[in-house]
Amino acid sequence: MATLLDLTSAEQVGAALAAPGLLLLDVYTQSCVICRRVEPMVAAVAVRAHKLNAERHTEFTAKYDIRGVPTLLLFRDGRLIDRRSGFSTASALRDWIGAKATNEA
Amino acid sequence: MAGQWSRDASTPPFIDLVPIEGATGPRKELYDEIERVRGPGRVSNLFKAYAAFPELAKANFRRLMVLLSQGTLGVKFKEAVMTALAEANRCDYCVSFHATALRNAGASDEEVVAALEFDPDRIGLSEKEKALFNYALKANGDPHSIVPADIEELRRKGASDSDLVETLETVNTGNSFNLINGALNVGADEFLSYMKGRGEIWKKSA
Repeated sequence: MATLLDLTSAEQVGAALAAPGLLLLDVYTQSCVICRRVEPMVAAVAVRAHKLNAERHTEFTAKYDIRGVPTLLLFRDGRLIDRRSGFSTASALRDWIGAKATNEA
Repeated sequence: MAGQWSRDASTPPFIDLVPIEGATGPRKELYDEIERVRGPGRVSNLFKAYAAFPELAKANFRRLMVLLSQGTLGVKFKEAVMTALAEANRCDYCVSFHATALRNAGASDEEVVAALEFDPDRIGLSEKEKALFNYALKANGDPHSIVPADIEELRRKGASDSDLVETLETVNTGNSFNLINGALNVGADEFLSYMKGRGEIWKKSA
């Protein structure tokens, strides 16, 4: 199981969003227990995935209206196509991403 | 979260893991009981750590034996759940221990990898067991996120009250062992080799 790359700078966030294809972004905070639980699930899903600390990226969280963590944002070619909050199993994430990827294709 | 609970291999365990030949009194009684069940020399480091409180260790060992030898769910299912939990909890000792046990319960290497990737569809489980595997992960991730629709889905797959409790106790047992091993920096047993050193993979990918 890979570990998610933490996007620490605005430049890294911009580069991740600029890359083509699907991107799963795990928005977390350091003190959030459920965030620690969901991260291995996100990392096990076979799609490009990174994480982003909500407390370090307040402009980003305002832009995407992040009201709680963990929030998972699904982008295609830099465009937000769906989101979900709270804990999800890896199976639920695979089903979700598969359905969204098909619908949005 | 890299290494959140995983041990630091360069640091010794935080409590004394008395070897078999050095055990006396209640500790020896515990070791003898474990060797009777598991075979000579197979007192795991986890139970050497637990043995600092021998009566509790005995109760925990018996609890584990009840979980693994009784109930209605198979050992392969329970070891798949505990392997997945060990991976989620970043307990490298526990991954090695439960992946070995999962192989011994009949799983292939590919099925062990599927458990480590939290993918019940590739572990060779029944439809009910697949649903219970995800129930276990959800209970571990956020028990309060479980809603009536989750239970209805489990019922449709044939899960009984007993199956739910047995699954949750598998989660509880796996988690309690992960925590003890992580918090006491307990390393993998000498008799384990399969999937050993998982923590190094986590560190490299961090």
